[in-house]
Amino acid sequence: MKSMRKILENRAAVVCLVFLSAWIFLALAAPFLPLHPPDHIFTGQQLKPPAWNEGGSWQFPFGTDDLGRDLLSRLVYGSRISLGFGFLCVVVSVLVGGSLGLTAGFFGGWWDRSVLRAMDILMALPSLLLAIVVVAVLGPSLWNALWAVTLVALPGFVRITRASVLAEREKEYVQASRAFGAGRARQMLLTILPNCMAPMIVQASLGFSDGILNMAALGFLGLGAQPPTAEWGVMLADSKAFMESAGWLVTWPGLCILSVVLSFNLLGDGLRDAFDPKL
Amino acid sequence: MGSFLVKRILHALPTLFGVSVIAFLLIRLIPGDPVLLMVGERGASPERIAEMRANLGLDLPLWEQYVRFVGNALQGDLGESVFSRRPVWSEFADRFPATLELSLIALAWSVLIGIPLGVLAAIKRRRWPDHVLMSASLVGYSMPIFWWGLVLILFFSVRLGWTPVSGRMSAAFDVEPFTGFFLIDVWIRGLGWAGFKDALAHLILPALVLGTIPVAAIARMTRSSLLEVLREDYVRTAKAKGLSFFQIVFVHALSNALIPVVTVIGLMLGTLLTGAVLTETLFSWPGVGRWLVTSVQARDYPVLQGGVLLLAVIIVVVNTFVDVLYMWLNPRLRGNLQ
Repeated sequence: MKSMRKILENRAAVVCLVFLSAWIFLALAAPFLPLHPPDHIFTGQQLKPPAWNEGGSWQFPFGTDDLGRDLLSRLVYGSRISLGFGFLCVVVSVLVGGSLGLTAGFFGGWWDRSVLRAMDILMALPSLLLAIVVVAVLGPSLWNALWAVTLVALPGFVRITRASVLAEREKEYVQASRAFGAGRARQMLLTILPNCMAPMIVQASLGFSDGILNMAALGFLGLGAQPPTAEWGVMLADSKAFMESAGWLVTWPGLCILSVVLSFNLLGDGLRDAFDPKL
Repeated sequence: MGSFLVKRILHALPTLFGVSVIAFLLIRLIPGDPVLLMVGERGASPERIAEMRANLGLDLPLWEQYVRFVGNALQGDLGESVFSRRPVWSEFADRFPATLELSLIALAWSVLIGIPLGVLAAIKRRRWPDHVLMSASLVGYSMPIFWWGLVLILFFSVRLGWTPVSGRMSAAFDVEPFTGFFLIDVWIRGLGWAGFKDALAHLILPALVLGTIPVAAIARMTRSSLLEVLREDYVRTAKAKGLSFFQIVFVHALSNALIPVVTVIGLMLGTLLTGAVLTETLFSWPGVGRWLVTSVQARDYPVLQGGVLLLAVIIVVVNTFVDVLYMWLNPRLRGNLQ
């Protein structure tokens, strides 16, 4: 509760939380909003500038792309992919990374050593390179990009969970629960795990931003979501050819990525400050 | 140097082994027949297909394939590109200097800017320079650099026409690589100032883009490390002795505060070498990163396998070296080296 209050006192974190909630609402409500379908091609309406520019109209508030698709609608539908797949990436890495880290820290021994070693190897390859290797094996697609990005995120979750389990494992309350005859599963899941949540929540927030950024990067390289999917990275890659005449196609998807990633980072920072006052 | 050095190097060996397994399995894990996938719709004669299959050694038992792969790799034989039919090693060697030059220049500017900014933020803690710098660094840290690059191209190349849009040199200059670093080669090849300016104009935007995240990370790291050191007892002692604020910060505190920063900078080189994937694709920079991305799209698996292995080995070696350097820089740990 104390940390809840500290979060609410952090103005930047609150602003980010509100901003992200708005994005999540847009993403969920997209099919019910009065938007053009994101893939609908309006013939004869190619490369229309945004409404506030000369030649723009409120029919397409943010303008249209080179094929005549409504940019606003594509941006909103793009958030479904970025936020949705970012969410999936975090959920899978929390579940898999969390269980690996929890068991490694709790049991120690050869299991701990093998898990750590495997994570060392994954971390020896820089994130984007590792993601590219995975995509190369599985083939470029949105879902394969998700697996790639999740594998990249895994070591961070494993290490953070393991470290906090190690810190908690020998504390008195855990010894007490052991003395009262708690089994291993009970000690791990009910005694230790709840006390390791703080760093995991921070990591999840930062993992969100990494996941979204890496997914967009893969999309941009042509190794993630494929056209005509409305995905922010793919939209940026498409905009390259028209950037001289249609700058808005470059500006908006990029601002979407930046604002969402920045918000998750700020939120993560705020959460860390709230949980760990000494930093 | 003894035991720690040996231990650290021994620690790197299993990682190298794991990395080699990843690179090795890359081709083998692909669903379907990799040779047919590589040939694709272009088709090839049955002889060529048999030759490719034999080159990759796909007809042997798995463990034997691995032994052969590592044995060949140790002798510098990483197979040949399916498309250029040139050895992967020489394709890599042609491109690596371009990536290294870009990464080093990016690293250099981010260190030269990042450390002073971090120091400034720390000594102005909780005042406006600190707030401005830390907000800016968080934006830099969150930057999708492929977009940032597009914005810079749009502004500096398209609007202002100051810098070229892509490539390493204008077609008017024909630089025969000597060191592979064009900023140096233009002098060796006698192209003088005009050539240097051309190479620099091509380099400046990609280096700016590639250094954006590092400069933010270095500034944040320097700030927090310096703030931590400024709380130490010996800093209080120095204050009590009556030393000036600048003496305390720049003579006593900074040298200790920079030890962890140096480590981060060292580890960053690996990230930069591959962060170059995005930058190089964006600016058509003829380096290793763009080469790897094209090889994924073209299903040139030997290139991918060899390129990944080489990059990973370079990164593991650099990281090991940085660890040893950290030990050596930190007086409290230096004893372990003897």
